[in-house]
Amino acid sequence: MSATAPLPENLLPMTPAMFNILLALADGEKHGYAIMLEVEENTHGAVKMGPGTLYGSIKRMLASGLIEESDERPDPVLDDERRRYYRLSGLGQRALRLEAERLEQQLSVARLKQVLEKGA
Amino acid sequence: MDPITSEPQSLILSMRIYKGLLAVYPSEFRRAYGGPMLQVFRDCCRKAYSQSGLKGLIHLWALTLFDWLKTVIEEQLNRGTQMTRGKFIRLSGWGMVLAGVTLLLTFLPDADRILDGFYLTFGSPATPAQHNLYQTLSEGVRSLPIPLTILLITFGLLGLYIRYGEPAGQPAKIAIGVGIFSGAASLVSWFTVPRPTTNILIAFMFAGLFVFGLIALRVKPMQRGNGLPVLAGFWWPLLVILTYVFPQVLRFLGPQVPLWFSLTIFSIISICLALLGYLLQADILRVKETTPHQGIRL
Repeated sequence: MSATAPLPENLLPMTPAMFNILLALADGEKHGYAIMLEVEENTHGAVKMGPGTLYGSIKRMLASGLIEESDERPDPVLDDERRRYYRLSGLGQRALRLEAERLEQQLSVARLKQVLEKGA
Repeated sequence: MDPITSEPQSLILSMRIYKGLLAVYPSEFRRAYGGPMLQVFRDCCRKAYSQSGLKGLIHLWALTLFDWLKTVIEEQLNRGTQMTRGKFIRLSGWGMVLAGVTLLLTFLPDADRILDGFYLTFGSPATPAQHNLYQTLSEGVRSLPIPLTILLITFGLLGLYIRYGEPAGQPAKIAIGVGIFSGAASLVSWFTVPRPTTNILIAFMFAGLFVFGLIALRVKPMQRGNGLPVLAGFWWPLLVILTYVFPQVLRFLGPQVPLWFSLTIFSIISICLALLGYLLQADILRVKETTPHQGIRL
């Protein structure tokens, strides 16, 4: 069957969990726990994902083609070889860039309306 | 030695409890992600315990229980949606099969002509009793087959849209959408407005199927029978065009369109609809493997 790939625009806007996972994978493949730690670090602890949210999100993102499971396994000496590693797909990279641009646009509107100054 | 046994008791207990909690997730999800989830939870437990001891572990459990409850509901609902989607496609497939049958029932009012033709051919005229029986039957169903067929085809188109809309692409979705809309409109118009309008709307319904078929021939979203939508959707619009735009073409066939002609065309449509419906409902196993993009919300 020749299924047509979904357009990244159709996957926007992303939920915070999805965006954060893609962002965590932007600089290379990671396993589930590493993703969880990086999301927590990137958001200064504001987003804490439990295993259910993490793997529920991973399941949906694998199904929609945003991420891929890596075939390579780590050296058993360095890491648990049972861990599954995930990486961004081409679609995931495009969707992440589009979402970042969308958020940047929103931020510029907020700046234009001096929302950040008002809150200070 | 199992590495788990070298952990503090509170960690071992936590992992056992979490392993038990995983049983509440749908089995498919649990099989795919239960192991990694347990592994991640173990890592979280170790971190929490090493940083804040039992207090950290209790805090982790509070977060984890909330996460567990939320995602169990999500995954179970998601499974329910998949099942409902699958059931709907299967039902709509059978609806299309039935539409093939009900379309042929529209010839019941002409059954006397068929019977007479049969008996005339074989030298034995239809008896009054047979004729009366037919009259009773045909009166009862005279007004039903066409609207019922429209309803069933519209239902079948919905199934096609859900099942093949995504893989066939946006133009195919629009074509089936036009078909569905026209089907619904023709159903309403059947009871409210003059017949030519209804016939044209039905033609649009079939045209939607036809255009989807043209795309399906190129994209091949179905495992088999990608030519069936074209064959099923071609004839009705053609007949309507010939009837209302080029009536002189039909006059070649005689003062009245012969029964054999209509019966042949309707039989082709019926067989194609029935086959298409059958293939649609049989494709349900592949539906389970496909996750809809609308399910991406986390």
